[in-house]
Amino acid sequence: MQCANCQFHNMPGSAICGRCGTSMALATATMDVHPPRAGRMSMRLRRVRPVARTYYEARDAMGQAGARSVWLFGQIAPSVPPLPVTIRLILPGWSQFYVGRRVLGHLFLWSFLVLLLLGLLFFGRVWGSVLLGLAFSVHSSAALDIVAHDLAPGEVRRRMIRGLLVTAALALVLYLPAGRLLTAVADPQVIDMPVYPFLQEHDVLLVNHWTTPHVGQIVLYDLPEFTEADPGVGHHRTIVNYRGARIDRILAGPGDVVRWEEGLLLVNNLAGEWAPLNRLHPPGKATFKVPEGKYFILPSTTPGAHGRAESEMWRDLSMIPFTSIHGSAYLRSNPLTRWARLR
Amino acid sequence: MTRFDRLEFEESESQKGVEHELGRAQQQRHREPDRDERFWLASASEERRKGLFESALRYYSRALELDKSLVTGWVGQVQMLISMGEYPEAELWSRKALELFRNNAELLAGRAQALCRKGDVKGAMASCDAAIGQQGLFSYPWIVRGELMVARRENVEEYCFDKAIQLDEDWLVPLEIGLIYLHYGRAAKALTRTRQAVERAPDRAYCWYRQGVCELELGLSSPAERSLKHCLQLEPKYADARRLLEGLTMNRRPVRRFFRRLFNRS
Repeated sequence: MQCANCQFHNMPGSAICGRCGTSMALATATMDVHPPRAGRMSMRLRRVRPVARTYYEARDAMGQAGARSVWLFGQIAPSVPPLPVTIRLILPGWSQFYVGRRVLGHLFLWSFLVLLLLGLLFFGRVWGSVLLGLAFSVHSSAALDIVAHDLAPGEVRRRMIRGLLVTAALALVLYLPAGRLLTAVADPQVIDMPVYPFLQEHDVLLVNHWTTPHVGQIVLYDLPEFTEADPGVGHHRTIVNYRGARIDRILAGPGDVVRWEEGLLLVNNLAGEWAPLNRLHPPGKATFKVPEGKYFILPSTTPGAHGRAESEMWRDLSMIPFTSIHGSAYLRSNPLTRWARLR
Repeated sequence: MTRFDRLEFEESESQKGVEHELGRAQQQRHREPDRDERFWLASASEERRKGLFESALRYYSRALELDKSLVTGWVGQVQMLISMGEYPEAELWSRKALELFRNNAELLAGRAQALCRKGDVKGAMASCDAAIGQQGLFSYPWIVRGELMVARRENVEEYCFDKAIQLDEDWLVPLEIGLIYLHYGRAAKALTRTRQAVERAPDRAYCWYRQGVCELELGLSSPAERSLKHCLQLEPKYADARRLLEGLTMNRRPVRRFFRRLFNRS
């Protein structure tokens, strides 16, 4: 009895093939020999997007991800310099000084410092961003110079990979936290409308978000939304909507009684020590008590608010909750010719 | 003694019986081919060589109805399902067949091809490795190995395909290699292999048809027209070739063809 599968000659009477295990009674066995067929609709669907292929592609991609990470580690591992050198990568040129490449160290260090200083001077301007970006590039180049020291000049691909990794590491470890810190204590705010003579258009103010606001401080705050409808004449009707971020001075704190008479602002019946940024003289008479959790800030830098006599409007626009105050403006950094500390 | 040739004698019973048996055997011999599983296998193979996969599949099934131990029938069924683009069914069927014929090289190769077409290249590689590791020299596992190389974009498939052609000199082997190349959009390589098939079997209409298809894919309309005409000369009722030829003569788009040739992938 010869096996149909492997042609092995089995002993007569064998039920299965002694070599491959195929049934000897297969020829006469009862079974369906007609294969399953795909329906017309499923064939069409498979042509549009084969689900199985999608699954296998995703599976293989996930499988390759592990291999890729191993490969990436292989790219990084030999390039990591000794710890003393790695620590000194924090400042461009420092590592070069440590390994004895003093000229290159000077070049990196001073170019970085110059660019950083200029970038900080123009912080808030486009040029400031460009200069800070260049300073970052110098830092990245200095780090790459150390990390890729073992590569031959022709190994462009590996150099590029290491460059990307070094840049990403510097950005994540150093520049992202530093940037967050900087914008927390010196957030540049560009003035979009003049506050004569105090602020002019395109002036840059630095705002510290970490200070606790107090009376007399110039702060960045959100104006409470207030809509004023002027009935106008005939068919003309004007609707004015006051809202948005403003910079102005805190004039009174919670519990203070604010009163103005004949253009004179009195806080707790005393002539106010502090004046708003714009010399604002609200007409008429009004008395308010500043509620708890709010500061009194006259919207003197809000165009259109001048000359209004409605006391409700002043009350609504001037009572600023603590939560709406974002920080104190302490420095006019740009233009450099008008550089001044705000008091 | 020619004058006694026409004398009539009474036949004996035994002689009658012998002649009757001979007649029955002769009748059986005449009638047998249309019932024999070998006949159905041959018919299936012939249909396959005409590119009629649906009827080839039917004939393979008929052969298996008569004898389920025909591995060729099972392998043929799997191959036909793959040729018709029914990959999950082919994979399922190859698995079923492998339960009957464990570690059969061609069935393993069929399963590998079905898996590869489904996108599971990893599984296909394992199955193909098992197929090549089996005893015996079959061309089909090497064809599938070549296809896997093409699917993985590894430029070493030529070795596998050449090995398959060495093992089997049938013209169907280079033609199927051409079909594989065509499936993966490598029309130039497909044309080279199809030309080999045409050289081996210039009297086969299907070879010429496939050559025409490859030439059309490459945007070579004039050679495609010649190939299709040659196919129709050999087989005037070849519907696919006629349809392609009519399309070619009606939709002449030289600019489109030019760009197709220019930007063709292979």
